[in-house]
Amino acid sequence: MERIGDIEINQDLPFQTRQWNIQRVGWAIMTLLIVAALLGVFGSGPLSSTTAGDNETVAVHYERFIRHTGEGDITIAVAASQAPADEVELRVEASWLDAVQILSISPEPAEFLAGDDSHVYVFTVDEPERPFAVNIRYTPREMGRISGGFTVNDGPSVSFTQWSYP
Amino acid sequence: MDAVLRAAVIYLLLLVIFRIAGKRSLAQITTFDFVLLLIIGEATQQALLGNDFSITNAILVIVTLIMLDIGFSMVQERFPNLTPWLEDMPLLLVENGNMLKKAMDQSRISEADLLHAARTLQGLERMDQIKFAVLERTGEISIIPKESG
Repeated sequence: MERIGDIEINQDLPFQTRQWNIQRVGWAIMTLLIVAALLGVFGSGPLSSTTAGDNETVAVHYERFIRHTGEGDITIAVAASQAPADEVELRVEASWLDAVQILSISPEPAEFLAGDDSHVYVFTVDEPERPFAVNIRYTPREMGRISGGFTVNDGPSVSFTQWSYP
Repeated sequence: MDAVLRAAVIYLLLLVIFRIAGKRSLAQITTFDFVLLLIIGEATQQALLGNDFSITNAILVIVTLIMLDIGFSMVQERFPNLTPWLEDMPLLLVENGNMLKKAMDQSRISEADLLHAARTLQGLERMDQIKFAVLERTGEISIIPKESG
């Protein structure tokens, strides 16, 4: 035990200085973490929201970064040219449906056809030849990389990958 | 398995975060510090338990946390050199009435904080009545008064 004046104290100034330096680095890292979070690196933010596909045919608006047991939102926008009949078939890759739990689909699908690698939701459309959008709210059941894909009416297929944080 | 991993990850992350924040961060100097501590506890709770509110889960989490704590203290006994890293060291802030500016600045302690501690702990009135002030590992300031007379 070190003794300074009358006091016995296990003070270690070189260690303190080293610790202060490490703390400053730690503060910098935490600041970066906050900035990254504001930008959406950990979900919901400009860096996270993105679109796959294109507006001419099928566009999928989704979140790149989601959180395990958090809530996510995905919108499949189908252009008028891709919805000629009064039924729209949305084929969803089974891998994605295994990785997430669907909370709600709007509009409500009229039919659900289970398949091997993919499942099909059938929507009835009031007027054909009009743009059509499906919104799915879901919660990730798995952590890590989640990939999925949507196919509309056996036409254009859009695939995407998401990252699910623990 | 989930509960144990959750508890371990949270334990380690909190340990790192609070060591980075410095010993002053949780010392509850003001009422707001206390409120902050409560909010942090609240935020941690959800991640610790997840969606499982069963007694089994709670017991697993608690047992894991306690065992980690015991484990760390055993490791420290075995390797005393690790203790400063895990639990910090005390630091002199005042020596014979003289404030040690660098130590105070780096630990984010003001003259007012010192006088506050001197008043509440020892009933002292002025800086020159303080012989030693030490920032303890817990973030508390301990005051040793000069002998009168």
